[in-house]
Amino acid sequence: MAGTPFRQAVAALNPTDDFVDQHRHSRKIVKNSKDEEGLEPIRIAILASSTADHFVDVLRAYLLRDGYRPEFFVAEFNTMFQMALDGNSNLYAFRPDIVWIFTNHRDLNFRADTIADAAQQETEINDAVSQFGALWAGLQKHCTARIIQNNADRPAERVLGNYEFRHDGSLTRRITRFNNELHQVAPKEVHIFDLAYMAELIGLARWHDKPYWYHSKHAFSPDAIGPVAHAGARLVRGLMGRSYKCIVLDLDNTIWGGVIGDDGVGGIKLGQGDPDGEAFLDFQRYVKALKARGVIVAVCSKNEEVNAIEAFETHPEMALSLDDIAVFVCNWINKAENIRVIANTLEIGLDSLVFVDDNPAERALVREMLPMVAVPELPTDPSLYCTTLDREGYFELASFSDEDRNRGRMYRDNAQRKTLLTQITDVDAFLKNLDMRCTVGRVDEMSLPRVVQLINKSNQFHLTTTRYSEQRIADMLACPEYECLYFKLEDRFGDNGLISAVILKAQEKMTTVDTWVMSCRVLSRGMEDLIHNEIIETAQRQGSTRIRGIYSRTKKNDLVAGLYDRLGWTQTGENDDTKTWEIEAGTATHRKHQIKRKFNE
Amino acid sequence: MSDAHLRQQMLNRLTAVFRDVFDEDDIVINDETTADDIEDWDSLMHITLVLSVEKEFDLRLKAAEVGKLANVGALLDIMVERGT
Repeated sequence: MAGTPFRQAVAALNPTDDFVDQHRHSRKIVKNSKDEEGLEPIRIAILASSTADHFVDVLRAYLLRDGYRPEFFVAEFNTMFQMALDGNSNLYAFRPDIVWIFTNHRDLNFRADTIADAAQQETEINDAVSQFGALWAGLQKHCTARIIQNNADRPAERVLGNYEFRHDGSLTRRITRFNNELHQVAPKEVHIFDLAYMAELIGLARWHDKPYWYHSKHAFSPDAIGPVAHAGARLVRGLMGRSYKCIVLDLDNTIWGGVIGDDGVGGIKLGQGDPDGEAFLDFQRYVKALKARGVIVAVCSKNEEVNAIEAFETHPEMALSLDDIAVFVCNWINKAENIRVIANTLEIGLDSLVFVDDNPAERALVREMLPMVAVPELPTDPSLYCTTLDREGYFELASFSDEDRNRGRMYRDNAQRKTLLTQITDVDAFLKNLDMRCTVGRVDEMSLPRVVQLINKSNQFHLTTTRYSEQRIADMLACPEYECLYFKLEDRFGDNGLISAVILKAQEKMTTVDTWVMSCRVLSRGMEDLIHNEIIETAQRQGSTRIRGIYSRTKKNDLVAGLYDRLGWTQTGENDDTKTWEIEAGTATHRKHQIKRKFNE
Repeated sequence: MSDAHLRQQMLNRLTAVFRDVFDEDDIVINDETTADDIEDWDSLMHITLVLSVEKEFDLRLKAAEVGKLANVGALLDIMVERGT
């Protein structure tokens, strides 16, 4: 893996790991952070009535991950009121940027040995809320730090069983009502950390770990520290005004299933009746809700724009509409470049972009070329897209207003006034780093079914859109005039499988590229150049002096209309929807690429 | 397997846990090793150690046991008793 030891240690961090692993990774991150440049100092005071030290050690690692170099002040056990109310306390001498009041349900001092009557409920809830009110007032009087306040988790036990939630006097109901009250009375300078949500997310049975409360006063299971530290670091980022602002979406297999250019509007998976289709629809709805709360949505896809637009305009189940998209970029240029253009167009920093793409190679390219862009590791199952994105907590906010609702439109209007600029970024280093290995071979019994499928299913990278039966190709294999080649590609992310096939027909010293089909997934990685070279060598073996390439235009193969021009072939003819090119077999130049080639005899 | 042999085996596994927790590849422990013998073994690291032991040996210590672990021998006694 590329990157500094620090970056590598950070990449190993996983919120769902247990405490032992969190501890190990955190130690490594801290150790390797010494020389890391560009980390922003931040001073965080923790006021807790439980043991917070193990949590703080892990939180430190998550803040380092998010671009901060934190310093902590952990108030001694149970001193939060003295600290906050005394202007001369160590807390204020520390000059915190953030004070986190790290409480849990025990801090409410609700009686657990009774079912409270109305008067007691009132007193308890009022007392609990006003004690925190006093803390906030003290903090606001003596410093300008941003304040984070935990709400209260609920115990796993229910004295009233299933009736627990129906009776106002139960402990659970009192806690829930306290939370409601807290959320209402907290001034806008006080930010609630939703501890109750964390407990539910993890599950009360796992959240509470009683031995660790009794022997060392840990408010919740040490194994829950990872998720809490992760969510806490993201909240801190949000409060410091460094939340992510924009989500950049790939299209094919990211917001719908399948490839729009090949499968067409009717062929993509989206909507009811198909498990993936439903998952993609829910993901679109989630993104639409993000947009409704002010997150800018952009599209960055390798596609013909007309195909992509058609899906947005005509697919009956699309939740996202073109109106939701501030910048729409569909082309075949590398995505790092396009993402730069998107950031420039929107006039926001690259470090406020989140890039969502199902393709690990695209993610790797963006991570390597634009390390400041957040790139979530999307699972292969679209059912998990929403959860994965949501769990990252990229879009934390300090407040929410009507202005936020309209932000997307504002950015879109601005973007439309600007023309898209293209910048050239060198991708050779990246491609080399991909460690691509291509196996070339003559089509045989083993590879035949996949070659037939590729020829008959592909629409976009298909120069002549020939459609051949398995028998027809088998006949060609037996005929000396024909050479049928397949191409497989592996890279460091795994095996892409058989991704291209070429059929070459030699007649009277002329080799014609009868068929050239390729999966768009591997486009612009140098495969076109490698195959160009392979065609030349094959033609020479066939004893040809010239090679002819043909492009037959269809509705879907605009993508390759200029392929032979790009490869340096000379156009020799054009009529209706067909163009031809030629090159000399003997003198044609080999093209450079970054792929290791192996011929499978 | 004899008790002594079992105990030795557990000590070996426990040594690996200590080395991992204290990030020190040459830590050697025996029954008499206490917190005073290992520089970083304070009350906070004690909890990290207990968590790591619980994970490695797939057992849960009782709340009261955690504070009473005067030395490595006491920890081994519990583990032998649980038979993990």
